[in-house]
Amino acid sequence: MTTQKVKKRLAVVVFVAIGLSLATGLAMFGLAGSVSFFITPSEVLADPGLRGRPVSVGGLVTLGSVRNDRGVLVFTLEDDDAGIGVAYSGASGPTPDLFREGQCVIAQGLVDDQGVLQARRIMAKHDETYTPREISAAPRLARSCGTASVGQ
Amino acid sequence: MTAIVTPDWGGWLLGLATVCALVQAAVGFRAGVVARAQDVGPDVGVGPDLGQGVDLGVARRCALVGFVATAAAFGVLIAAFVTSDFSVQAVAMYSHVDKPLIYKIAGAWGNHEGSMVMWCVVLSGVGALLARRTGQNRALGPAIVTTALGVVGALSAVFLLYTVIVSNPFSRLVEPPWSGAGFNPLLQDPAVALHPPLLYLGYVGLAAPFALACAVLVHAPNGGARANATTQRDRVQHVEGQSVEERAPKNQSAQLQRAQVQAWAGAMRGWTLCAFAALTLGIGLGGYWAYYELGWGGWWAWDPVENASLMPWIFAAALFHSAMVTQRRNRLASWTIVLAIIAFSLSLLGTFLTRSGAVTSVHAFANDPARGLVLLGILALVLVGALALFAGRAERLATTAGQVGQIAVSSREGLLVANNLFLVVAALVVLTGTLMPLFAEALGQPVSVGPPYYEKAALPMVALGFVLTPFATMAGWGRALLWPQRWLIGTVAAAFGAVVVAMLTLGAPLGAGVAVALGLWLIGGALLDVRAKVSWGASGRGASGKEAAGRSAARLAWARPQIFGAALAHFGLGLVTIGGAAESAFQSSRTVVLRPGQSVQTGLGAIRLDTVTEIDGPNYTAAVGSLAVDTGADDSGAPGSGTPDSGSPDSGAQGRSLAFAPEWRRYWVRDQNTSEVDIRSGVLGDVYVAFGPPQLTEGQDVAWTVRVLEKPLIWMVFAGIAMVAGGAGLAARGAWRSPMVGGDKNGG
Repeated sequence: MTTQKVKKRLAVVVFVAIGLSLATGLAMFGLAGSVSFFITPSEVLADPGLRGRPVSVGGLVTLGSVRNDRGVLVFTLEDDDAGIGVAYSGASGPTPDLFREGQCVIAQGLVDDQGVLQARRIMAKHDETYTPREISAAPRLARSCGTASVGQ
Repeated sequence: MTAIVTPDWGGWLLGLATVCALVQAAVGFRAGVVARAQDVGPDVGVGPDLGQGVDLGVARRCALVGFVATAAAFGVLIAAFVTSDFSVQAVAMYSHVDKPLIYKIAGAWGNHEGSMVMWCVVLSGVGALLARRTGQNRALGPAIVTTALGVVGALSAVFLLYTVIVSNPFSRLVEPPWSGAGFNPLLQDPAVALHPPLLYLGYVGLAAPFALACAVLVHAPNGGARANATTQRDRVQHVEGQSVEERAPKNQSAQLQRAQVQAWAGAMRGWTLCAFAALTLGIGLGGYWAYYELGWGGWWAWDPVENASLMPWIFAAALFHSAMVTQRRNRLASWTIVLAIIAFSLSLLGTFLTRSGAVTSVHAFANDPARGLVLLGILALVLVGALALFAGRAERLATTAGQVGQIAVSSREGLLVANNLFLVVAALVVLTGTLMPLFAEALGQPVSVGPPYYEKAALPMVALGFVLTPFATMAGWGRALLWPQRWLIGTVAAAFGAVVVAMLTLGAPLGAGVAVALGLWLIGGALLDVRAKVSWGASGRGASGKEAAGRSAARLAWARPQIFGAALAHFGLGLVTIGGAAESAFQSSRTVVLRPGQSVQTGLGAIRLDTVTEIDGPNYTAAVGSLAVDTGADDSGAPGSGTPDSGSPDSGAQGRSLAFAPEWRRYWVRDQNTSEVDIRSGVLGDVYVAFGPPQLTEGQDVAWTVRVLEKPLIWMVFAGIAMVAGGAGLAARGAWRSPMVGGDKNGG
């Protein structure tokens, strides 16, 4: 092999190494504290260690629980076994048009010390045929968010 | 007309197109196999002994017929939607009698099956265009063109078979319904109608560089051109326009290789620029629609499907920058080819992510794991196949002929290599974030990755790239940045610091300050680039022998506008950066609940709901709120300075009161509600008012939620995106042509 070829190969290896290290480093830096686990209300109640960490909670909006408390949307999110309170102040926009009681939604945010989810974002279905994967896969939501959705 | 042409024709036409595509693929495959068996390079001309002329003719005809058939099939589908023929399953599922005509047409591609047909139309269109570009084809040689058409044919065949077998839009229903089920009001919008066609032009457009890359790999000669001498001379004459006697024989293979590389690198660059321009417009349109329709004033959410369109966009950008180095300096050929392969694979990945429901997204069409698996299989086949081809043949690319020594770090080549590094790392980071939920779920714990990740991890690389951009446009090919230009670094750093400090005093976070400084730097760099090109043109160095020296800037812009493409695009990037930083750092937001006739005093001024009137639209009833909003601004709609709800009572006295009429619509067909925002745009920014939903208060009055956002300089984001697309389109105009012999550092 000529020195030219060796140099060229070395350059390629060095570049790939730099690129991969940069990408990995940045990814790890970014992931710290930005990844949000998907759980159900029962798991929120069962594990106090989840307080203060970003979570996505999926569940059914309990009938009759939605109210507006001085500009903050308050409702109860339930799964087959338990329910938690959720408060959403509208930080990332109005609630999706298909948000209503009896609908299954995902609320993302932090659980405070009182066990209430301070939601930063609410995701509901955007049309009748679509259900987020996490909801259809969660065992504890089988009854609440099953195929026979209430109040649609 | 419908009695003669039934929707079944659609299926038959697709079948015909599939046959054409298969023949095209076979012919391309044969050309490749023959060339490798006889071990000849691509410079071998049209020879009856190799039959390549015949092959090319067959491939070209198949490409054209295939395109016509696919387009006709799409036409049949659109006709079925327009006439509301509910015996066709796709029409029954996705259309409705009450939809306005234009959205019936758009509904043809606003669903999975129809959009796959559109995908096939664009893919066969790419093949037809490849077949017809005679200038490009002469320079590339019949071997490469035939194989490239073959690759496009193979891809077309695969996707046509997928469409016909797995997601056929022409399947019929035995008992057609009366009115159809497809009525999502969110989708009845001009921006949403145009968004998929533009995106597909981008995604599928990247198939052309991919096909060229594969063809180049297949036909890379085994160490020098061991070709027939007479045909070699013919090609040389054809390409270089000089007679053979003028060149020493030993330089022939080097010159030939150089010309060949210039031809395919230029073709790749041109195609990529066109696809990139379309993709930019498609993404921008999606963002603009999200801004005015979804009610939260945002235009990019780092949603997995949005990221799926961003990744091919980033790689396309890296690709045309790299192809520029290959075309001009005969370097980075292997890298350019790898980029072409990966860019198209990312397009396929994007299709897979969007359609399979594998990641949770507000954009996902539907959950259909079966279809997703097939698409994943296609992606794996394409990626693994192409990479295997690369691994086997890359060494034969042999473009050392014509290369000059090492790359100086601060030369244009060096800076473009750095640009590629930053772009690719940014794309990898975005890819990691997008796919992480998939892997995490497979491992048992579902997670979601939000915007903070992307902002922390991807934006620094983009910022670094932006820092280098003006330097790269100033730098020369093959030589380090001149010392006067290095002095610039010091001045620029000082100015940069000044801007950041100014932004911090205004109360913006550090990131926004840096972003505004970067945006100004990009704009300044673009203006310097224009100035340099104009003076270069005026000095006559850019002119061919026939044209006079001393042309004015206007004449230069008229005669060769493509040299300003890069400057326009970089200027646009600067605008997007400044606009994005301003609107996120300085936006203010107020949310109140009001009854008609009620008014509320907020820190930034009063908001008054005068009346709520009910009107009827074509397929909905709307409650129109008549609002007067104090913005703390003058009457151009400009918002006041940033801090929201500061609580000082007299700030409401400064501004004018603007009137708004947003709506809360209830669509009859599905009892579905949407809010239609009202936006007042001005030079300094937008004031954005969203209305609804209504609530019953105690006492049974109806109260309405009103949300007022002030978005400074948001127009820069969308204007900038349009400029990036325009710049890319402009640059595409001259990309195919080989650059002039002896072009100066600031040339074309």
